[in-house]
Amino acid sequence: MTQKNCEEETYAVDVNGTVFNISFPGECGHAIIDGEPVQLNIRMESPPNHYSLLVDGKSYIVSIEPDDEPGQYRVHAGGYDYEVEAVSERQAYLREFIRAAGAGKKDSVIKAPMPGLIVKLLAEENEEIEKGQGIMVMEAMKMENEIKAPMGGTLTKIKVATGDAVEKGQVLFEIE
Amino acid sequence: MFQKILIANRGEIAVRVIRACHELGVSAVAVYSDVDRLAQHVLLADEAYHIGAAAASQSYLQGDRIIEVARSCGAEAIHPGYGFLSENADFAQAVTDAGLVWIGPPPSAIAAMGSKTKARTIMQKAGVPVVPGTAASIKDDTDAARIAEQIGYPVLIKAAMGGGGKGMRVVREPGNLMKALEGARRESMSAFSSSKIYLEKYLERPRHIEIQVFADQHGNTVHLGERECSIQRRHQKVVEESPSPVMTPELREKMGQSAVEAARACGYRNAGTVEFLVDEDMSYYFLEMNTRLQVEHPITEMVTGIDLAQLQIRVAAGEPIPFRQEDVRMNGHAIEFRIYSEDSLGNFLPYTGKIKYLKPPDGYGVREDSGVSEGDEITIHYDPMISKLVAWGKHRKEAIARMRRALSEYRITGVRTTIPFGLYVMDNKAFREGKFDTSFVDREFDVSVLKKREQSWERIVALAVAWTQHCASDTVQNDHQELHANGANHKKTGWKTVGREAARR
Repeated sequence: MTQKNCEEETYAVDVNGTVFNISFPGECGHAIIDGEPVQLNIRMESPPNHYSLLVDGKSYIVSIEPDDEPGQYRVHAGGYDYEVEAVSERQAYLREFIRAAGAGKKDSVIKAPMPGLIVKLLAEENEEIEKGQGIMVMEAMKMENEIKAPMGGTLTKIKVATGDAVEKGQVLFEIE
Repeated sequence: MFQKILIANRGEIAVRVIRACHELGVSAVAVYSDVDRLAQHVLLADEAYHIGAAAASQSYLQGDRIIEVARSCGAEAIHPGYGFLSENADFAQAVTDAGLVWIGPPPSAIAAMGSKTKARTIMQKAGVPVVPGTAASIKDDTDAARIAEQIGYPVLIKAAMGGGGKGMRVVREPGNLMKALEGARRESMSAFSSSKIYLEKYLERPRHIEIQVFADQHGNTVHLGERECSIQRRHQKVVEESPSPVMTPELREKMGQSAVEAARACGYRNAGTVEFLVDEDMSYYFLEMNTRLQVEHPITEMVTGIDLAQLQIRVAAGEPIPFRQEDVRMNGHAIEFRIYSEDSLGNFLPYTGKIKYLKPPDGYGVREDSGVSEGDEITIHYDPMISKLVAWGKHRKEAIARMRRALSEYRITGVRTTIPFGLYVMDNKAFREGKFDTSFVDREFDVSVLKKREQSWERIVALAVAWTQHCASDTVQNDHQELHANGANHKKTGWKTVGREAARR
């Protein structure tokens, strides 16, 4: 297996209700699961969704089938079926932000939850907006996410434009 | 020999019979319902005809239509397989009346063995042991006490008109008899509008052992040894083996002789199975006779070397059985495991769905009788049995090890199966020692063991999913893109560029 240099990323993977924290440090072929480093070699065995895993040299066959929602899978291994949901740390952060925003936090200055790209604006400055209304679409981790108004009011300022790459914490818009 | 045979069935047994036809140089005709146009039996047959809607009552149970198809396509005989019309005496008669050959016993034998009380009477007359008890209903409590004393405790009170366990009571001591009689009568009255009850000896934890018999038109009746079928769930067999781990040559001889007498007593022809209950002191009692080829016939084939499906066809064509009783030898040990579309971890609840991936095991000593292929749907219309996996070994230990190996290689996705249960059985101490009976699932099956095995895979599953998701994200996909020389159709975004930069560092 060729050594790949991958970006470091951490995932929370929920398997039938048990959550595992898995991170892939810089070089591929290595993973850390719940703090324990393992040697990992995965190859697609039979397309489209059958994989051969060598975990510290031990051989396993696993079938992974994407489910309806992104990040959700139906997995078959060892004669058993598993419902799995995997979220990367960045996605989790973003989701939490969106959830909190939707739940009606009283913040009037809305900041970017993570680095990303503004792909579309859904509202204009000085527009009267309702709570939960989509203001802009931001792409991050290959996922498009609608950034919604956490409260109703007047959209006094939009601080970004379509095509802007934004940093985490950068102000996106303000509501009065 | 026949030129053409119609198989009035579907699934693995239709496939089994078609194979036997082809090996004998006989043309095989399949019939199929709306949902079975692409089923294995249709694909393998030389001819196939549509007979109706998906529901069995609209297709595989439409005897008249099936006979019509047989006549119009020029088939000379009908093989019923098991289930559906196989034990329907009226259908067997109609086939014969239509001038076709019925590959099975005479209708009179099917009818006689179909009635529990009639079968019991015939067997008693023939000197075949039946469970001690009264066939007629008991008169009063004094009569009941006398009979119970005669047959010995524990006794089982049964409703004469009953079924489904209603009106049944197990009585272990004389002191409890009166109260149980009262309760059984009351329950029977409300369920069947009859308070008639009768008594039978209650067998504690019996084994289920059956004998394969065969009879031809020339007066030969032989037996082909036993099959041990004690491991059942919902009173349905799931693991069978031959020989039985508790069988001795003397007992086999005795039970075999009883089975042959049972077959003779009802004027039997062709393949049949006499089922016995065997108690702890190895006394055996006639339970019932199955007047057809059994699901579990392959294990007998594996140890005797006799192709039962072929022999059925030969005997129906008028040939004599080509061997004598003393020529029958049992070589080695065979185990069958039935792979059902059922949840091993969820009370064996049937599971419907599409078989998305299917790769059965092979290798020395492994046989698979299957009627499905990848993409097939397991529907509510038919039996949820997917396949029968058979392992042969030179002795029981080897057969168990081989079955274990085969089950762990079996790959199927899309439906839940009994495979995890099968692995459990192969590892179970009582099973391995041959010390089990019909209460095996209740007493020995601990579902928490399977739940632990399921959990032990969670870590591997998590790693696999995290990795695939990681690879699906842009940064790692570089490798894939290079591999497929195709990255141009991906929309370029600033985020992606950042990822690439990071990857190149």
